[in-house]
Amino acid sequence: MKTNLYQKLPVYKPSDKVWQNIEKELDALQKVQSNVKYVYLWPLVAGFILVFFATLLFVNRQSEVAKNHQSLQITYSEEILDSVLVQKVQTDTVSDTEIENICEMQPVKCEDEYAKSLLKQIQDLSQAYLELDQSTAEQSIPDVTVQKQKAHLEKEKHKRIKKLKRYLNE
Amino acid sequence: MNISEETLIQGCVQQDRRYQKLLYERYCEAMFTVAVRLCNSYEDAEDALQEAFVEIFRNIQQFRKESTLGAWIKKIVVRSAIRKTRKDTKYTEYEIIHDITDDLDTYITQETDMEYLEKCILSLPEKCRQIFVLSEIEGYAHEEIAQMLNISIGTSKSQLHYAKQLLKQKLQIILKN
Repeated sequence: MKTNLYQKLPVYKPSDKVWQNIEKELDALQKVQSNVKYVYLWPLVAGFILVFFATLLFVNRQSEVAKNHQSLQITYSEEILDSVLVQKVQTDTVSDTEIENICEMQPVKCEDEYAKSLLKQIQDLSQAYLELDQSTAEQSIPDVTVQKQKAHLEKEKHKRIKKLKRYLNE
Repeated sequence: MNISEETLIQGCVQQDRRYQKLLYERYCEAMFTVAVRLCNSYEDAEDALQEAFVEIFRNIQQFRKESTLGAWIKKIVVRSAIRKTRKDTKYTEYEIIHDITDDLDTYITQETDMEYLEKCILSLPEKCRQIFVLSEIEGYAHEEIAQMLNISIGTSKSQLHYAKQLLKQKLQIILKN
């Protein structure tokens, strides 16, 4: 169509209330947007912080439990080891008389420097054990640390006796 | 006030009410005129304009400058106006008689009373009036009209042909008188 109707036809003007209504709607929309910010954003942030700290607490608690579990395991293993050690020492304990008997069989060897040194160490360890035993004799409940020390002394003494036996039998 | 389109857009993106009003004032008459012709009712046209501008201000950050701002705004207004008038009535397919010229220039002269022509346009049946307005006044192609009205290109063409025939009849009466 050659005729430009767009420019020739009349133009209409909307009433002022159209803009007023648009403004009202835009105001309401902005209010909703800011409400969304305050009503939904803050609980979201608070929720996030709560979840974050809950996770942190949970992780800490887990590592605490793991640590406790580990330390409990260590104590438990130490206790087992100690009791095994004490039992072993008790069954393997060799009396001084027995040592004397051994030395009677090999009197020459028992007189050399190596055997004499071992005998000395055995006597010292026996002495230390006896002193410790006497000092704690009055305690009604045996001290775990003392028990451990005693077990250690017995173990060391036993090692040397074995060494001596092996040397004398060579 | 001579404010560039870019400044106007930026102001609207910032939700500055002064720029929103300036944008509305710049386009409201042209857009209201399209809406009136599509709705054939001032009340519906005002409602359509209001809804369209709220949509425009809400989505102005999505304007990609693929067309002019005016064209982008007009499409939103047209959609809003069509939504106002959309009914379940179906478009009738009219047979296009090719030996009858579609040229309205013979009937629309310098002397034609444009107010009367406007009345004739507004008195056209709704569906063909909308297609006539979009095609002959607003300059949309049949492809665009078909897309906007959710009809086939053939329907758009046949409805336009029908609208022109009706207009000719109305204008002939005036010429005869």
